[in-house]
Amino acid sequence: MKAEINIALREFHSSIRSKRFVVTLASYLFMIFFFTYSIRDELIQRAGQAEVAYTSLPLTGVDGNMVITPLSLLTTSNLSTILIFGSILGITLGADSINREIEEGTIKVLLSHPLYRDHLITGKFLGNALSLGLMISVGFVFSIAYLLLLGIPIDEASLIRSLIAAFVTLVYTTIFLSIGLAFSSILKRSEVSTLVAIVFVILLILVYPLVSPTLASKLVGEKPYCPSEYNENKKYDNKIDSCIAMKEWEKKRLLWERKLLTLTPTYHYGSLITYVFSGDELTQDYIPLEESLSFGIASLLIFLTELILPLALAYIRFATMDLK
Amino acid sequence: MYAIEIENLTKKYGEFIAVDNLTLNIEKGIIFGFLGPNGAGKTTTILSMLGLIIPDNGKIQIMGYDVLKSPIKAKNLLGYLPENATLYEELTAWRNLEFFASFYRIPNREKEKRIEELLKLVGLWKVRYKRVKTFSKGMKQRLLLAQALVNDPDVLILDEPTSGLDPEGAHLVKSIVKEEAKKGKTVFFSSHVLSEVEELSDKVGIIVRGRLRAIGPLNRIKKQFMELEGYEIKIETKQRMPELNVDGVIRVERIDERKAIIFTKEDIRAQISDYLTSKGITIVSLKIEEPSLEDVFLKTVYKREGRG
Repeated sequence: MKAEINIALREFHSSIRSKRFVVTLASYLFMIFFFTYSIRDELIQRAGQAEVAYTSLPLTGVDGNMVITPLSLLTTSNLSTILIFGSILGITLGADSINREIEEGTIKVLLSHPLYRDHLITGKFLGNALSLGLMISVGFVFSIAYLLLLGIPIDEASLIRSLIAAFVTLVYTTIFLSIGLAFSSILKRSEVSTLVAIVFVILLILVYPLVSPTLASKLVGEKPYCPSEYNENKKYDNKIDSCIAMKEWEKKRLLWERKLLTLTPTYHYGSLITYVFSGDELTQDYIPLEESLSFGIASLLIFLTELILPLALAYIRFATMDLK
Repeated sequence: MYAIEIENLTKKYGEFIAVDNLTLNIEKGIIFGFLGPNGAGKTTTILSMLGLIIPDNGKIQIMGYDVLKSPIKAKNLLGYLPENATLYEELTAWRNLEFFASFYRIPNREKEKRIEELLKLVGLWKVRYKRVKTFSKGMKQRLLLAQALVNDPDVLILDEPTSGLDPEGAHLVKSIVKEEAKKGKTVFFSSHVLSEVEELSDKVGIIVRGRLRAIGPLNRIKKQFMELEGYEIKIETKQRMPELNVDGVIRVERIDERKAIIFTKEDIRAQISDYLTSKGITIVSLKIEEPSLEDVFLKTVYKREGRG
């Protein structure tokens, strides 16, 4: 493990000094500050209170009953920021980490020393994950500090759950890191792999959730016809209720939309965050952690598979390639 | 046991055969010069020795360790200076060497001492805390050499070690190579600079189109070359030189009436001497003109490539 740690520390050292990291961190903190400041009054209002509310997490396609405390509100409000910045930083950190070393020739020097190729990938993954961890920690500490500055007390349950959410966020960003590493091992030129990686993130995070409802509609088939007498003087919801075929179609469409969204790590990330903060409407309190997290096992497994698969691809590709 | 054993190494890139069934054994403690034109397979051979290229066939052992089966044991015993490479530019010279030294089981104090010695040896001690990106090409090359020596290796593999260096830097590198060989280390180096190979090498190998065309100590290669290509005997006489009616003479190139170069198939200096003495001619000098490594190299390369 010593070789991997040495590589990880060097990688961490290099990545946190890179312009890419500094710019992403600065933009991320600015966005967090902006969002936090915009909900400042709501945070003050909710000080010392806990309420269970049906919440929809932006960009994830996930919703559910969640406990709203100032800290959980802050965490979920910052979610879309981390979704974009975390995934972009994660994928770009990985996207040029192997091919750039091949381009510069440092890989030949490095691998002439006593280490295996998989040590290099593991080290790079760990080092960059450490950088992502730093970014998430800074954001987390910033959120806590902001609440304390506003004089808002932080309850223990929300703090623990926010820490778990921060860990889930780290795993989420490392999925993109491993996808980036896979790109870096497949594509020869570092500029190309970085560009492809950024386009991939934009498509996956922003475009795919937007087109998936349309795609789901196409997959379900033609929208059924509802007789006009049913619709007269009725609201849209009632119209669906009154037309069984339409109701069935909508149900199928939602199912397809969900199926399509389950392909993305974002959906599972949203699900896990919902489970972490899930609340009981009756008690108006958090559902016990073991119980709420048990609902998210499937998401966690898919999440981990999405992390391991690209990493395995990077390992296999890198282990069998000639380093000219 | 040889320091480096290459057995039937073959590497293809599609249809192109970069290295073709190469077998090469390098004895311990010698300096081996590896020569060949561009694209001959020198770098492919070197990268295969480090396990950076996976050969299609063949086996390579470094100090008895198979580079593919026991890469860590093999790499622990070797140092490598690549061609056209750099170190981590955002790190200082010291941090770079410290990073590479961290892969070996060297106690911290010893490690620091070793790094200090190496930085002094390559003349970079004063700039040890400067980032590599501020270094000139020559300074980077010297630092690369230092990293190759960081583990005090038994086998040193150098790919074009003086490339990009000024005469002073090249001299420094050559003196380090000689010094390492004196300590009993084996040095395998490739170079385009024939004079450098001639100056440093105990043994030379010439590779053309992936095949080893000549190997051995330089004297032996030259002898083999002369046997194959013929001898050039330079002669100077006191009196006017008569016609040389000696068996084995192919042609005579006269420089003036007392000096000439005689081209022969074999070393027939004794017969020439006898002939001229019988004619009452005094010989001032009679010696075989040894081909330079350049002659050997160019003839070997171009003959095989059908250009000469």
